[in-house]
Amino acid sequence: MKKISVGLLILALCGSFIRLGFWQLDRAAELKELQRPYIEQPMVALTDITQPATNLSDSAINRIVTFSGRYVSQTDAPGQKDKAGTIGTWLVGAFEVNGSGTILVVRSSKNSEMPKGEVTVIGRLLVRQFEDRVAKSDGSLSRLDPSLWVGMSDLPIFDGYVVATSETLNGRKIELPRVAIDPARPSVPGYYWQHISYVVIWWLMALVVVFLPFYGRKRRNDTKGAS
Amino acid sequence: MNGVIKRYRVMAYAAGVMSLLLWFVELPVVYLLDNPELADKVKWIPFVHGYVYAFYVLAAIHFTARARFTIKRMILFILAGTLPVASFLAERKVMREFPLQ
Repeated sequence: MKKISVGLLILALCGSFIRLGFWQLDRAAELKELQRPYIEQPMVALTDITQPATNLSDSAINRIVTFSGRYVSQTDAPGQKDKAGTIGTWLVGAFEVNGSGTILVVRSSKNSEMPKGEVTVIGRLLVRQFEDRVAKSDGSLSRLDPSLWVGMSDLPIFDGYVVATSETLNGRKIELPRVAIDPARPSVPGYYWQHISYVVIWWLMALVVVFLPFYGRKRRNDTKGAS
Repeated sequence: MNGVIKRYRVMAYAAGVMSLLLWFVELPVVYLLDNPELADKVKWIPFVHGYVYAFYVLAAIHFTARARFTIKRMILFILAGTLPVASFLAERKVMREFPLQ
């Protein structure tokens, strides 16, 4: 009975260590994949890849989207960092997409009047921010998260937000300094060769677990032989 | 046996130094400071630590097997390489029990 228990324990430990090794191997592969340059995909209509009141799918994140409708209000989002690392206050609008829902749109890094009329926006769709950039205060957004904007619109709300690269009001382009950002990249902590070293360690541990019972038996036999 | 002890001591010091660097330099820089440039300068620490620890495990197994330690002691010696200072303490213990001839 004891031998069976020990055998099962060894199997469980060995299996766990091998699995952990594969997990680190997957992380190393994922990290390598992330280091590849982002390949831009063709522009799509916003409602073709996401709908209001649903979570953004992975495939929708970073897509260049276009949609038309009107701005219903706008506010500031301070403490936002652009591609160059410059921290500033961004102008954010609540945008009602025709026949659909409301989405947050980062309009500019400078203040500007809210356009009145039919606007067509082109921009990059990004996943909502989860950490506050500044302390919460009335009249501004502490992070780009549609759930923070209470009473933004009566329509259902789209997940995520769009960083506008161009806006057209009644067919005329709105000239504004746009926010430059990199496509969002999921982050895997650590470095490629670090994960590979952990693969080596976990699999070495699996070998150690297999080796220990043989070592224990040899040690007992040696002790018996000596006495 | 002297060669085995020497190898273990060298690896215990290396693993100890790398553990100290990992716990008290690399982890605070990466997770507490928002400084990508500095984080880039210390990125060698975790992977050097990883490989050094793998060699430490081999040296610890070799030494503890030759010294006929119990399985429990062998496991404790292997784990000593994961915590800062623990491998230094293990090395001191070895030097008291097995002074070099």
